[in-house]
Amino acid sequence: MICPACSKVIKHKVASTWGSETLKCIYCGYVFAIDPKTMGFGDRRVLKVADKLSKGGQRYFTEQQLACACLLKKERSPQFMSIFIWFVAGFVATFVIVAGAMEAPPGLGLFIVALIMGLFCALVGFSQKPTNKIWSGVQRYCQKKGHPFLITPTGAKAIIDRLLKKDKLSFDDFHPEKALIVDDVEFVALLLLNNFHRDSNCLVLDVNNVSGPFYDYFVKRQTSDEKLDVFAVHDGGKTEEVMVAQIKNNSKWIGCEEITDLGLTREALSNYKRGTWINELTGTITNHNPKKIDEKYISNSVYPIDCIPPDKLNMSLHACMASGCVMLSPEMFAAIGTGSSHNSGGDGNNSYDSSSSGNSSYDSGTGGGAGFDDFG
Amino acid sequence: MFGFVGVVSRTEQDLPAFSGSSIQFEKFEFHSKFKIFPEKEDGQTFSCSDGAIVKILGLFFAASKTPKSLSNFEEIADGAFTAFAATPNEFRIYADPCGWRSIYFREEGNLLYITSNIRYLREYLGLQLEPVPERSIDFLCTSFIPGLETLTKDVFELPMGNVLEWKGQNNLVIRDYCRYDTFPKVEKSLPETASELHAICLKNTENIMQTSGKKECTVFLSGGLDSTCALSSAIDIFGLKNVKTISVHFGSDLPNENIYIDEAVKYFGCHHRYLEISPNSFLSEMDNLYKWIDDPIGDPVVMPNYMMNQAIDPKEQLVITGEGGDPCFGGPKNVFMTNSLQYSDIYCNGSNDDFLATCYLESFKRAYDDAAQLSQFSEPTFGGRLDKLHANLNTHLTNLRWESFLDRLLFANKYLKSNSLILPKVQKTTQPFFRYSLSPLFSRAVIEFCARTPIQIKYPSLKEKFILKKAFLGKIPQSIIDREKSGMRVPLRFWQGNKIKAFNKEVLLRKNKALTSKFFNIKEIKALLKHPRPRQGLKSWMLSTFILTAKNLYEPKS
Repeated sequence: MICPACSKVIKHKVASTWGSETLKCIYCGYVFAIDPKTMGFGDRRVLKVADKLSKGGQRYFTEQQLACACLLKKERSPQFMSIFIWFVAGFVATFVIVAGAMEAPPGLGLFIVALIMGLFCALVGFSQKPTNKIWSGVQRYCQKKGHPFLITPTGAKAIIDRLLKKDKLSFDDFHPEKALIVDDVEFVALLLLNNFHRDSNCLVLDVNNVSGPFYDYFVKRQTSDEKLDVFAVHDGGKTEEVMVAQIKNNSKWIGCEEITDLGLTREALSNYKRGTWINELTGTITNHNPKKIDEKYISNSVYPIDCIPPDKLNMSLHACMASGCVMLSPEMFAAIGTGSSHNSGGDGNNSYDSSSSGNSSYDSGTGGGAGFDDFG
Repeated sequence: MFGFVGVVSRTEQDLPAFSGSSIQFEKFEFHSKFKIFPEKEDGQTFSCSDGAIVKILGLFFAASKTPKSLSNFEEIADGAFTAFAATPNEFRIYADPCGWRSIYFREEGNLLYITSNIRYLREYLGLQLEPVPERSIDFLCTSFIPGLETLTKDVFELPMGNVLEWKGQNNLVIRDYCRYDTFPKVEKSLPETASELHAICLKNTENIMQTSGKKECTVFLSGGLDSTCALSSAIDIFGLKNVKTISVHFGSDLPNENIYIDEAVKYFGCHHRYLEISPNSFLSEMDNLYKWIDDPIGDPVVMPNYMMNQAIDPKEQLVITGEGGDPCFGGPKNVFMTNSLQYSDIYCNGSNDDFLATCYLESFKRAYDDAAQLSQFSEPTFGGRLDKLHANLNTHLTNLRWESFLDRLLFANKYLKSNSLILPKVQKTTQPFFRYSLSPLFSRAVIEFCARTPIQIKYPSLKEKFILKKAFLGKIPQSIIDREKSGMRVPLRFWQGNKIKAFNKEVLLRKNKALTSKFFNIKEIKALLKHPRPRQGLKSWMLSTFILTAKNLYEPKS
């Protein structure tokens, strides 16, 4: 184990106090949140990923985002080496066991049998799903250790409450052009803290909260001549997909008859090859594979929208709202690739690269091949 | 467009040896020597009835009315001018009410040096010019150096609408004579207000024509609202046959505004010229261009402005632009600020005094996000300078004389951006060609109109340039009124893999590495030029043009 605080290597048995589950660094006293023996990964991995996600303190992120990012590249897709190891293990085991049981020296027949068993094991290895419990481990880490730029469910609620408790919340100089309804309060906090509202001049609302000054402002606008264009965005998944229908059927959401669903839709996910699924019941995190989308929908897994890298998320949402395309569609990648739709304008002194990140890869012609370089 | 350099003293023997001519202030015991370029633009001199003497260089809109006194002069002064005045007790320099003309000054004991171009202090008066390297931090955050300070040590810029009063011997006071923040709001109906604004724009154009003495003009057209309004005013006053237009684009393969330019040209029926600009056409001009920039300006629009000036016929001596529309009538970056304020409580620094200043710098979308890395200064120098910059911005952003936050913001933009960025970039690119360049949308009359018009009439619900659109409704193509703001965009990112990259390397690392290292972190510059990052093209352009300016000011022989 490597201590994330002092970077010293400690043996697990040394770190664990006898009879206690607490793991402690003997050099600096750091108390570990995750037991790598049971979880398959440790505090250091989570902290490193969290630091990377926050971009040195420029961006906020959610637990889901952190969990998705913790899934390593080698865990996302079966690697040649791991398949090879499965093959060798199968081959050697068969050879040793069968040769030991036989009296005659091993011949070509045994070699063929061992080869077949090796191939069978490789096949098993190929179909192996990650079984580590990244979601539970990350949740535990977030609960015990936190991070200055992490948005937890409780943290998100506190942030929004702080805003709502403002004594004189004046709407005099506030005039958004559009409203975005999202699926939970963490996502609202994420978008606000990462400045989506001010870059896109957008009112961000939580679908579960139909009260408070910002909701009242929304109602006021929707019942006036200056109606807001309304958009919705949600995670991918069976229950998540019905969010827009629920909004339309809810009389509290006034003026949402022409609401635009930005996804994540099943159709967009069927044509897209990157990203991550979380099964909150089992705690399993798996790589997205368009061919296995039915399986994910049946198992009630969630494709969290906030697993899109934070800086790309704002840009993508803005592009989708401007052009009406859905998130993760080839049209969206084409739109953000131009770099012209995000935060355009200024005091007559812009340049084309005033907003583009300049490092998103896109190719509308390649369909599912397009994507973010650093997705997850 | 004139330039000048001069020195004033209370005693004749203190004046340095310098082949300038004297301005007649001797009766008040102020001795002076000035050099004015071109010499024929010697200006006008008035004797006020209170005895004060005023000499005005440039375009003074109230030229027909002789000021009765200096206070009367301060009330009526409008245009693009620099005025010198003397009374028995003090020598004064007036910056025009909008900041069209830059004025730099330096005080040394019994001498006051004044100039329109900082380098003239070295070239004509032999003064040693040195940079203050930590002011490059301001530049990284904003792409210019806002406020009184300049990059040059002991040289300051007189802010717009301010007068410098000098009694000699380090007795110097700077006073705001326009006091825009004291105007009471006047409630009028929307149609009345819109027609008043239109009349002011026409009057400004008439003033430009009369004071410049030119019968013809060239309008710089961008396809946006402001320049089209300027064109409409120019045609109304100069007549269609006396107005030419010019626009730039960056090649057919790159996005441009030609559709809107075509619409405007077709609507008015004016004679238009399209100028195509590419790195091949402007890179060889960069040294010449940045010789004229006295205090660093990182805005890439400087380059197309210069190229248009270079392209038009030398006989065409008057250029009309649409500058000033954003700071007067509201540009898109204000939305960023108002939204930040609305949600201030969610940010951990939301209740800090510096919150507004930080948001203001973020809204610039320049190199603020990378400033700490790109600067060669680390803490505490970096933090100290940033605190100073915040304090400077907060003076305007928290001016409680403006009841509305939006008014505070609009006037902050005028004082900070117009004075140190928007207008200098016009002035400095027309000066090499001895041309005048003004905008009908930016004058004292317009600023006072903005000061007394309530927000709900001029800028309701943050609708960009609402009152300007109403003022020119039916007078310019409707599609230009309805279109979204775009701004002049120089395709730096698209040119990054091209000659621009080599140019940046040459300027920053090969030819001027020692100079670059005085201000910026060389290792980080190398990383910036090599690896993509947000606004990479703009940031490298900012740094290269900064070094070109610094080289011309401080190491001209290198």
